[in-house]
Amino acid sequence: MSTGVSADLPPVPPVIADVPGQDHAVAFLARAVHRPAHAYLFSGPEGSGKRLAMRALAAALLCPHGGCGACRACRLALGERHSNMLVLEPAGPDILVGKDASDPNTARWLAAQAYLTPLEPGKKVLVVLQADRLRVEAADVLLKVLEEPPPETVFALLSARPDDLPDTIRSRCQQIAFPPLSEEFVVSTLVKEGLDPVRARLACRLAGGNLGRARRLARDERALDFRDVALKAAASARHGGTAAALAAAETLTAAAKEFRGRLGDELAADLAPFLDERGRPEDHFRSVIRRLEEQHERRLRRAEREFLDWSLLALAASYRDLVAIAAGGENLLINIDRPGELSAPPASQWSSGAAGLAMGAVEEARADLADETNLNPRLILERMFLRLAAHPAHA
Amino acid sequence: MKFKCDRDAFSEALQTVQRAVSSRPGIPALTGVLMNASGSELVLATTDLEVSARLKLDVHVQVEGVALVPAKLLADMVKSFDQAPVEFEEEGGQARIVCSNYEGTLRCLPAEDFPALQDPAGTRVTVVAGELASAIAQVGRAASRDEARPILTGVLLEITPEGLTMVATDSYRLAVRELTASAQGEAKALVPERALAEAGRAAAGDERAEAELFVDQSQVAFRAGALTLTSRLIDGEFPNYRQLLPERYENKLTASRTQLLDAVNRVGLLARESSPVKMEFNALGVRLSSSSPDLGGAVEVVEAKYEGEDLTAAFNPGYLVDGLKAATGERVEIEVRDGLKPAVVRGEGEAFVYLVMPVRLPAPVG
Repeated sequence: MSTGVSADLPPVPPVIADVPGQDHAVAFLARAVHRPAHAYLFSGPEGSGKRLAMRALAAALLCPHGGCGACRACRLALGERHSNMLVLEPAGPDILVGKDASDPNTARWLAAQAYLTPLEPGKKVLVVLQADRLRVEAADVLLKVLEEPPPETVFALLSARPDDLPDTIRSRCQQIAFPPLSEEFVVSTLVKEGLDPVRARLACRLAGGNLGRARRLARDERALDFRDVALKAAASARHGGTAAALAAAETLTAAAKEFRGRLGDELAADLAPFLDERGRPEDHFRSVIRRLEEQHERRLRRAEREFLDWSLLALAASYRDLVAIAAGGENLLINIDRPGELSAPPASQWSSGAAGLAMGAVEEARADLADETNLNPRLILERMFLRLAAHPAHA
Repeated sequence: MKFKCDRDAFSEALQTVQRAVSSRPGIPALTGVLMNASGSELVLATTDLEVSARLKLDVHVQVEGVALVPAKLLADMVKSFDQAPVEFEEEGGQARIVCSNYEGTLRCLPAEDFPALQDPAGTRVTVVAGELASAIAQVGRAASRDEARPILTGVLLEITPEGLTMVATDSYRLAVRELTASAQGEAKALVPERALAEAGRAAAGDERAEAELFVDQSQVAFRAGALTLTSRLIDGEFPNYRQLLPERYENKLTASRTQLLDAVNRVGLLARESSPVKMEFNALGVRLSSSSPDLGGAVEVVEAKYEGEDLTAAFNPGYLVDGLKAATGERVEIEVRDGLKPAVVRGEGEAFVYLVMPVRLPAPVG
């Protein structure tokens, strides 16, 4: 074989071509399908399409026609239901080693599958979602498999924080980068889905390019509540001094709790198909229900912190907009819907330095919240609002 | 799809295949039993992704077809019926089950979600079911339970024209059993111990019958009567066990198997990991002793025939007990070389060999 690159590249499998908004990753995967490596690391922020791309790769590898997107194998792989595909979803904050091969969502469970021959003829695709959550010992178990990969096995690790993965694991994976989706792509996708262009753009900017989140923000009337709550709380903190700052923290925590409550109701709706007419779990689906409930539990546990994070992100974005306005960059605003009225005092009175300081205070609070050190969210918020109240608009 | 069948046979079949239904399925389809009616046959299939079961049943097929039905629910339903013909009909994702005055409906699961199970293929070997069951019981316990070494959690099946050999080791002991069998060709497969135990259970049902084994690159299949069990294989190279089997040693103890077994059990009660059961072999037989500083100690002499020089070796009593239990017959032979080389346990007959590594004894104080 010559070393020269052939001019006519193999055609892109339809199922890969369907991966939205990630042309580089699509091109990479299209080549990978023909001679797959043992392991891939899909890295990129939340909502950049990693999971869709992983499913597409799995479909292309498991489909007898190389990824037609229409056959049984493709349908099952795209739904993560194919029996030659195993998806590890962290069951708690970390991915653990696990007791043994029957302990689901652990490293041993996945590794044991790697050493078994495939059930249906063909390849096996073993997936680790949020791979950065691998505990050191669990990573070691996985590493052993990656070092001597069993034949016909392809690993797909997904991570929004690939740098948190041990070097030893990272170096054994081919990395596929998923940059945040471009604004034009997200907006045009949402507009094609029938959403208002202005709202679509606002949602996209607030969601930082995360298509799924942008879609939720754009669709749901109440989805932007967090922004209003945060901005109102910040404004009142600024007006009313210490007492108002503490009250603002209270308001925001209460809103987060309420959000959690609403989410709980939504998740309950997911369970409905598995319940009988009287709302009791169908005996037969007990294990499926248990799995769903575990997932819900995890989402609920994260819900309050997530709401607070969105709120603070929105707050930080509004200060960022003030910096942009002060610098004359009106066209770069995130809150494109009503840039002027968001801040108190009015935008014209802010210096870019003061807005920058305020943004710093908010970002610091976000970092504290994101830390897995279990700092009390209420105290973090109180500190932040007190600092915001103390900062003058002019630095 | 529509068929009519006998309640007892249907119920028994559903109970049998239900063993392969996963207790913690990640995929809803795996909670189901796939029913395929064609000709005059109904084939029931279940899988937990590792082990799959298929069972053929003679029924009166009225309309051919396939349906995936919640396994436990259907099994419980049919089990509760009185003895009367059962009618099953599937239409538009709904199953209707009628038995005398009872009529029930079940929502079906999407049949295409059920894994496409592969038919038995590859090298075929036939053995007597009872022998297969006993061989699996003899060898299985030596397989490792440590998932960190996946290869050793399996049992090696070696098929040659002369017969079938089963081997398992956890690196502390090694069990080898040879079975006479008629085979065409040669093949090797490393089967998860759990799957083999299921096959053993199925084979134990009808001891005199013939059981068939099929081995190919990706799966092993056991067929006993109407039931076929298939299992995925462990991918990897099993240690070269033949190299581990020693030539005959000079020193050999011949004892009553039950007497020695009971003695090891009794003395073993006071043994601990750091202080195993010590065996002193001499012309009178063997003296077993154990002692642990915190608990106490025990001594028992088993009179037996011993040929060879006096020597002492120590063993983990659990491993020794497993070997003595697995060996068959009245008498058992233990061959020893010294305190460092593995001891060999043989029952009556040459078919079964069990190697157990001694535990190094701490150097005597003073």
